[in-house]
Amino acid sequence: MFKDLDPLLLSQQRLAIMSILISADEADFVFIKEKTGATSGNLSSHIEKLCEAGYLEIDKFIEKKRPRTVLKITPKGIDAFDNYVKALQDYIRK
Amino acid sequence: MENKLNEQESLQLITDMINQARNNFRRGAGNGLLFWGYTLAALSILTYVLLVLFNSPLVYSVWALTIPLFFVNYFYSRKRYREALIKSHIDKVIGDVWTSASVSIVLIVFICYSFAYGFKSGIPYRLIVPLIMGAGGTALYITAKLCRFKPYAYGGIVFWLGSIVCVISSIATNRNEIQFIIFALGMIAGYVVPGHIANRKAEEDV
Repeated sequence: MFKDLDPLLLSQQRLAIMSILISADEADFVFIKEKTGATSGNLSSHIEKLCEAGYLEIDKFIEKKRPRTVLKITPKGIDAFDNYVKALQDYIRK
Repeated sequence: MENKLNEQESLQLITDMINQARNNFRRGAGNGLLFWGYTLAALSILTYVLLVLFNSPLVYSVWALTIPLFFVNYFYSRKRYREALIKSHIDKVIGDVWTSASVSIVLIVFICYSFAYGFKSGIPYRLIVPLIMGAGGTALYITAKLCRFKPYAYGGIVFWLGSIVCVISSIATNRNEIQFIIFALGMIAGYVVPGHIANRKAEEDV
Protein backbone atom coordinates (compact mmCIF):
# COMPACT_ATOMS: atom_id res chain seq x y z
CA MET A 1 0.00 0.00 0.00
CA PHE A 2 2.81 2.45 0.91
CA LYS A 3 5.44 1.18 -1.49
CA ASP A 4 6.00 4.58 -3.27
CA LEU A 5 6.06 6.61 -0.10
CA ASP A 6 9.31 7.77 1.47
CA PRO A 7 9.79 5.26 4.34
CA LEU A 8 11.46 7.93 6.45
CA LEU A 9 8.26 9.98 6.50
CA LEU A 10 5.96 7.08 7.30
CA SER A 11 6.68 7.62 10.97
CA GLN A 12 4.12 9.84 12.70
CA GLN A 13 6.73 11.81 14.65
CA ARG A 14 9.02 12.42 11.67
CA LEU A 15 6.11 13.51 9.50
CA ALA A 16 4.96 15.89 12.27
CA ILE A 17 8.46 17.41 12.52
CA MET A 18 8.66 17.92 8.75
CA SER A 19 5.13 19.40 8.63
CA ILE A 20 6.00 22.02 11.27
CA LEU A 21 9.25 22.96 9.54
CA ILE A 22 7.71 23.15 6.06
CA SER A 23 5.64 26.17 7.16
CA ALA A 24 8.38 27.89 9.19
CA ASP A 25 11.76 29.36 8.37
CA GLU A 26 13.12 27.70 11.48
CA ALA A 27 11.83 26.25 14.75
CA ASP A 28 13.32 25.54 18.15
CA PHE A 29 13.60 21.99 19.50
CA VAL A 30 11.40 23.01 22.47
CA PHE A 31 8.61 24.23 20.15
CA ILE A 32 8.65 20.99 18.12
CA LYS A 33 8.66 18.94 21.31
CA GLU A 34 5.58 20.82 22.60
CA LYS A 35 3.65 20.51 19.34
CA THR A 36 4.45 16.86 18.64
CA GLY A 37 4.10 15.72 22.26
CA ALA A 38 7.26 13.63 21.90
CA THR A 39 9.81 13.03 24.63
CA SER A 40 13.22 14.71 24.24
CA GLY A 41 15.04 11.41 23.62
CA ASN A 42 12.51 10.17 21.10
CA LEU A 43 12.47 13.50 19.26
CA SER A 44 16.28 13.64 19.16
CA SER A 45 16.48 10.21 17.53
CA HIS A 46 13.90 11.17 14.87
CA ILE A 47 15.70 14.45 14.19
CA GLU A 48 18.99 12.59 13.85
CA LYS A 49 17.49 10.30 11.19
CA LEU A 50 16.10 13.27 9.26
CA CYS A 51 19.45 15.08 9.47
CA GLU A 52 21.30 11.97 8.25
CA ALA A 53 18.97 11.86 5.23
CA GLY A 54 19.80 15.52 4.54
CA TYR A 55 16.21 16.65 5.15
CA LEU A 56 17.01 18.93 8.09
CA GLU A 57 19.76 21.29 9.18
CA ILE A 58 20.52 21.60 12.85
CA ASP A 59 22.09 24.59 14.61
CA LYS A 60 23.18 24.24 18.24
CA PHE A 61 24.35 27.29 20.15
CA ILE A 62 24.35 28.94 23.56
CA GLU A 63 22.02 31.88 24.20
CA LYS A 64 21.94 33.61 27.57
CA LYS A 65 23.91 30.72 29.08
CA ARG A 66 21.29 28.23 27.86
CA PRO A 67 21.80 25.73 25.06
CA ARG A 68 19.43 26.12 22.09
CA THR A 69 18.79 23.78 19.19
CA VAL A 70 17.22 25.31 16.10
CA LEU A 71 16.05 23.24 13.15
CA LYS A 72 15.53 24.15 9.52
CA ILE A 73 14.24 22.16 6.57
CA THR A 74 16.66 21.83 3.62
CA PRO A 75 15.75 22.05 -0.11
CA LYS A 76 16.15 18.24 -0.22
CA GLY A 77 13.71 17.98 2.70
CA ILE A 78 11.21 20.26 0.94
CA ASP A 79 11.37 18.06 -2.19
CA ALA A 80 10.93 14.90 -0.12
CA PHE A 81 7.94 16.41 1.68
CA ASP A 82 6.35 17.60 -1.59
CA ASN A 83 6.77 14.16 -3.15
CA TYR A 84 5.32 12.52 -0.07
CA VAL A 85 2.21 14.73 -0.13
CA LYS A 86 1.75 14.18 -3.89
CA ALA A 87 2.04 10.40 -3.42
CA LEU A 88 -0.51 10.52 -0.60
CA GLN A 89 -2.92 12.51 -2.76
CA ASP A 90 -2.49 9.97 -5.58
CA TYR A 91 -3.35 7.11 -3.20
CA ILE A 92 -6.45 8.91 -2.01
CA ARG A 93 -7.61 9.63 -5.57
CA LYS A 94 -7.28 5.95 -6.54
CA MET B 1 8.15 3.21 18.98
CA GLU B 2 7.15 4.37 15.51
CA ASN B 3 3.48 4.90 14.74
CA LYS B 4 2.64 4.26 11.10
CA LEU B 5 -0.26 6.20 9.65
CA ASN B 6 -2.66 5.54 6.78
CA GLU B 7 -3.09 8.10 3.96
CA GLN B 8 -5.95 10.03 5.55
CA GLU B 9 -4.27 10.15 8.96
CA SER B 10 -1.02 11.35 7.35
CA LEU B 11 -2.76 14.21 5.53
CA GLN B 12 -4.66 15.12 8.70
CA LEU B 13 -1.43 15.20 10.72
CA ILE B 14 0.26 17.39 8.09
CA THR B 15 -2.66 19.84 8.12
CA ASP B 16 -2.77 19.94 11.94
CA MET B 17 0.96 20.57 12.31
CA ILE B 18 1.02 23.27 9.62
CA ASN B 19 -1.89 25.01 11.36
CA GLN B 20 -0.12 24.72 14.72
CA ALA B 21 2.98 26.37 13.27
CA ARG B 22 1.05 29.07 11.38
CA ASN B 23 -1.50 30.05 14.00
CA ASN B 24 0.89 30.03 16.87
CA PHE B 25 0.68 33.34 18.72
CA ARG B 26 3.72 33.84 20.91
CA ARG B 27 3.34 35.05 24.48
CA GLY B 28 3.31 38.86 24.35
CA ALA B 29 2.18 38.91 20.70
CA GLY B 30 0.13 42.05 21.32
CA ASN B 31 2.81 43.90 23.34
CA GLY B 32 3.85 46.14 20.43
CA LEU B 33 0.27 47.31 19.91
CA LEU B 34 -0.24 47.80 23.66
CA PHE B 35 2.99 49.80 23.93
CA TRP B 36 2.08 52.16 21.09
CA GLY B 37 -1.65 52.14 21.89
CA TYR B 38 -1.25 53.31 25.50
CA THR B 39 1.69 55.65 24.77
CA LEU B 40 0.11 57.44 21.81
CA ALA B 41 -3.31 57.64 23.52
CA ALA B 42 -1.63 59.27 26.55
CA LEU B 43 0.36 61.68 24.35
CA SER B 44 -2.80 62.60 22.43
CA ILE B 45 -4.73 63.39 25.58
CA LEU B 46 -1.76 65.38 26.90
CA THR B 47 -1.61 67.33 23.62
CA TYR B 48 -5.34 68.04 23.80
CA VAL B 49 -5.12 69.31 27.39
CA LEU B 50 -2.05 71.46 26.66
CA LEU B 51 -3.66 72.91 23.51
CA VAL B 52 -6.79 73.85 25.45
CA LEU B 53 -4.68 75.40 28.23
CA PHE B 54 -1.94 77.15 26.22
CA ASN B 55 -2.94 77.02 22.53
CA SER B 56 0.73 77.20 21.51
CA PRO B 57 2.46 75.32 18.64
CA LEU B 58 5.16 74.42 21.20
CA VAL B 59 2.68 71.91 22.63
CA TYR B 60 3.38 69.60 19.67
CA SER B 61 6.96 69.14 20.87
CA VAL B 62 5.68 66.45 23.29
CA TRP B 63 5.56 64.20 20.20
CA ALA B 64 9.37 64.26 20.06
CA LEU B 65 9.11 61.62 22.81
CA THR B 66 8.04 59.13 20.14
CA ILE B 67 11.59 59.15 18.68
CA PRO B 68 13.38 57.49 21.65
CA LEU B 69 10.30 55.30 22.22
CA PHE B 70 10.53 54.09 18.62
CA PHE B 71 14.08 52.86 19.28
CA VAL B 72 13.08 51.24 22.59
CA ASN B 73 10.31 49.32 20.80
CA TYR B 74 12.58 48.48 17.85
CA PHE B 75 15.25 46.87 20.03
CA TYR B 76 12.63 45.07 22.14
CA SER B 77 10.97 43.64 18.98
CA ARG B 78 14.34 42.57 17.54
CA LYS B 79 15.23 40.77 20.78
CA ARG B 80 11.84 39.03 20.83
CA TYR B 81 12.28 37.91 17.23
CA ARG B 82 15.78 36.56 17.92
CA GLU B 83 14.55 34.58 20.92
CA ALA B 84 11.38 33.28 19.22
CA LEU B 85 10.89 29.51 19.25
CA ILE B 86 9.52 29.56 15.72
CA LYS B 87 10.21 32.00 12.90
CA SER B 88 8.15 32.11 9.77
CA HIS B 89 8.26 34.09 6.56
CA ILE B 90 5.02 35.77 7.68
CA ASP B 91 6.77 37.19 10.78
CA LYS B 92 9.33 38.84 8.52
CA VAL B 93 6.66 40.23 6.20
CA ILE B 94 4.70 41.66 9.16
CA GLY B 95 7.90 43.32 10.39
CA ASP B 96 8.39 44.83 6.92
CA VAL B 97 4.79 46.09 6.83
CA TRP B 98 5.28 47.98 10.13
CA THR B 99 8.67 49.31 9.06
CA SER B 100 7.14 50.70 5.85
CA ALA B 101 4.18 52.13 7.82
CA SER B 102 6.66 53.86 10.17
CA VAL B 103 8.54 55.34 7.20
CA SER B 104 5.22 56.53 5.72
CA ILE B 105 4.28 58.20 9.03
CA VAL B 106 7.63 60.02 9.21
CA LEU B 107 7.09 61.15 5.59
CA ILE B 108 3.55 62.34 6.36
CA VAL B 109 4.83 64.47 9.24
CA PHE B 110 7.72 65.80 7.13
CA ILE B 111 5.48 66.65 4.14
CA CYS B 112 2.81 68.37 6.24
CA TYR B 113 5.35 70.39 8.23
CA SER B 114 7.15 71.38 5.01
CA PHE B 115 3.92 72.60 3.38
CA ALA B 116 2.84 74.39 6.55
CA TYR B 117 6.21 76.15 6.79
CA GLY B 118 6.59 76.78 3.03
CA PHE B 119 3.09 78.20 2.52
CA LYS B 120 2.84 79.81 5.97
CA SER B 121 -0.41 77.97 6.59
CA GLY B 122 -1.67 75.95 9.56
CA ILE B 123 -3.97 73.83 7.37
CA PRO B 124 -1.40 71.10 6.51
CA TYR B 125 -1.01 70.38 10.26
CA ARG B 126 -4.64 69.27 10.26
CA LEU B 127 -3.82 66.53 7.77
CA ILE B 128 -1.23 64.83 10.01
CA VAL B 129 -3.55 62.92 12.36
CA PRO B 130 -6.03 61.66 9.69
CA LEU B 131 -3.18 60.54 7.41
CA ILE B 132 -1.33 58.78 10.27
CA MET B 133 -4.59 57.00 11.18
CA GLY B 134 -4.92 55.92 7.54
CA ALA B 135 -1.36 54.51 7.45
CA GLY B 136 -1.70 52.84 10.88
CA GLY B 137 -5.03 51.31 9.86
CA THR B 138 -3.54 49.92 6.66
CA ALA B 139 -0.62 48.28 8.51
CA LEU B 140 -3.02 46.79 11.06
CA TYR B 141 -5.39 45.47 8.40
CA ILE B 142 -2.58 43.80 6.42
CA THR B 143 -1.25 42.27 9.67
CA ALA B 144 -4.75 40.88 10.33
CA LYS B 145 -4.85 39.23 6.91
CA LEU B 146 -1.33 37.80 7.23
CA CYS B 147 -1.85 36.24 10.65
CA ARG B 148 -5.57 35.55 10.13
CA PHE B 149 -6.59 37.40 13.28
CA LYS B 150 -9.86 39.31 12.93
CA PRO B 151 -9.51 41.73 15.91
CA TYR B 152 -6.57 43.39 14.09
CA ALA B 153 -8.78 43.85 11.00
CA TYR B 154 -11.46 45.50 13.15
CA GLY B 155 -8.71 47.71 14.62
CA GLY B 156 -7.68 48.73 11.09
CA ILE B 157 -11.27 49.60 10.20
CA VAL B 158 -11.61 51.66 13.42
CA PHE B 159 -8.53 53.62 12.32
CA TRP B 160 -9.88 54.27 8.83
CA LEU B 161 -13.19 55.46 10.25
CA GLY B 162 -11.30 57.59 12.80
CA SER B 163 -9.40 59.18 9.93
CA ILE B 164 -12.66 60.23 8.25
CA VAL B 165 -14.13 61.50 11.55
CA CYS B 166 -10.98 63.60 12.10
CA VAL B 167 -11.41 65.30 8.73
CA ILE B 168 -15.13 65.95 9.25
CA SER B 169 -14.65 67.26 12.80
CA SER B 170 -11.78 69.50 11.75
CA ILE B 171 -13.86 71.07 8.96
CA ALA B 172 -17.03 71.30 11.06
CA THR B 173 -15.41 72.89 14.13
CA ASN B 174 -12.55 74.69 12.35
CA ARG B 175 -10.35 73.53 15.24
CA ASN B 176 -7.53 71.01 15.42
CA GLU B 177 -7.48 69.77 19.01
CA ILE B 178 -10.57 67.52 18.75
CA GLN B 179 -8.52 65.31 16.41
CA PHE B 180 -6.34 64.29 19.36
CA ILE B 181 -9.33 63.00 21.30
CA ILE B 182 -10.44 60.99 18.23
CA PHE B 183 -6.86 59.72 17.83
CA ALA B 184 -6.72 58.65 21.52
CA LEU B 185 -10.05 56.82 21.21
CA GLY B 186 -8.83 55.20 17.98
CA MET B 187 -5.67 54.02 19.74
CA ILE B 188 -7.67 52.43 22.56
CA ALA B 189 -10.22 50.76 20.25
CA GLY B 190 -7.85 49.99 17.38
CA TYR B 191 -4.59 49.05 19.13
CA VAL B 192 -5.12 48.44 22.85
CA VAL B 193 -8.23 46.24 22.64
CA PRO B 194 -6.87 43.97 19.82
CA GLY B 195 -3.49 43.93 21.62
CA HIS B 196 -5.07 42.53 24.80
CA ILE B 197 -7.10 40.00 22.77
CA ALA B 198 -3.88 38.87 21.00
CA ASN B 199 -2.09 38.42 24.33
CA ARG B 200 -4.98 36.39 25.71
CA LYS B 201 -4.97 34.18 22.60
CA ALA B 202 -1.20 33.75 22.96
CA GLU B 203 -1.64 32.54 26.55
CA GLU B 204 -4.16 29.97 25.29
CA ASP B 205 -1.80 28.84 22.49
CA VAL B 206 1.17 28.26 24.83
